[in-house]
Amino acid sequence: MNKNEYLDRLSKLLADISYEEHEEALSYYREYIEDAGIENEQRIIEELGTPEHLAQEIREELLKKGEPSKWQGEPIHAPELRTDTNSSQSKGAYNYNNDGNYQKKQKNADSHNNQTNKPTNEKNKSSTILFIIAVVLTSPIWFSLLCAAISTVFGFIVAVLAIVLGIGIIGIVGLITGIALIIAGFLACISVTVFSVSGTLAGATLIGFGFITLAVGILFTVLMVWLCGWAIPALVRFIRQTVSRISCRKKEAHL
Amino acid sequence: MVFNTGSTLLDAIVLAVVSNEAEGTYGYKITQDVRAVIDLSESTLYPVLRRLQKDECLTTYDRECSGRNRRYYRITEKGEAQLQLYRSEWITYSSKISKVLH
Repeated sequence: MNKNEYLDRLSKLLADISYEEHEEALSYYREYIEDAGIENEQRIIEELGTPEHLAQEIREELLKKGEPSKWQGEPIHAPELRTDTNSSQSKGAYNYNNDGNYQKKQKNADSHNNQTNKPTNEKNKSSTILFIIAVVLTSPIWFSLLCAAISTVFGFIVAVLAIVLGIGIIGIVGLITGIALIIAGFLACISVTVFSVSGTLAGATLIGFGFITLAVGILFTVLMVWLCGWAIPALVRFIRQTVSRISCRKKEAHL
Repeated sequence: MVFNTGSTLLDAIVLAVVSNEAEGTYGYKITQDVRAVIDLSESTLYPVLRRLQKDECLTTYDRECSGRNRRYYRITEKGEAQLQLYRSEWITYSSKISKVLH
């Protein structure tokens, strides 16, 4: 390999570095071989090593302190050089650098993710702990409020049941009393007709009161039947819906 | 030579060799001068010279010589300061080694 062949090969192998670096390196080695003198040319070329080895040395130095921005582009490799083992070595060096950069970036991204994830986890944990502390500290307040709410609901239910029961009792008592008064009135009329006129009047009055009482009794009984058949189930439904709505909201808030 | 020459020591030797030539010196001559004192392949110096040039320890100029261009290297003020640091460090270092290895 003579000087020109050697330098041509080197030029091709360094095709992917910046123009400035390429020219610097080529002119240095051209001068170097020329300065050695024509008589030493072959010896110097042998001592410089293969163009592939030399290209790798130049690259390595550029990677250490060189211009990283100019190394970001796609490496331009002459196709005929790829079969050469030495050129694939130099290509490997270039790829290694690229991979190194990539891994570094990945690592940075990962560490960044970790940094963003950790605080949120800690935040969740600390907020849960704070929530528990708050629940314990405010227990006198919310426990009494809960008791008050439960007793209010219980009292309301009891009151409704008492009203219904009262209406029912009035109705039944009214029915019985009404029937009893009517019977008593009839008996009075029958017995009175035998003895006097005033007795008949009293019997008729009793029958009249009996009918009024019976009417009231029927009214209240019907009211109780209506309450038991419609109003109480409706109330139970309303309470159930309200309770489930509150618990649903709690679940949503918890989620 | 059984001792390896680290890159810092090589920088110091190159700076010293270049500073010995007031007019400046060129790649082939620098290589031969360095090779006179340490084992060095012919190819090693270009990256070192290029790095020292980028670090502004060396400056270059081109001169016509027997019908062709030749690049000359000269030491800069920064390079001189760096060389001075290397010299004092070397005195301390070598005297310590000498005490043990005398």
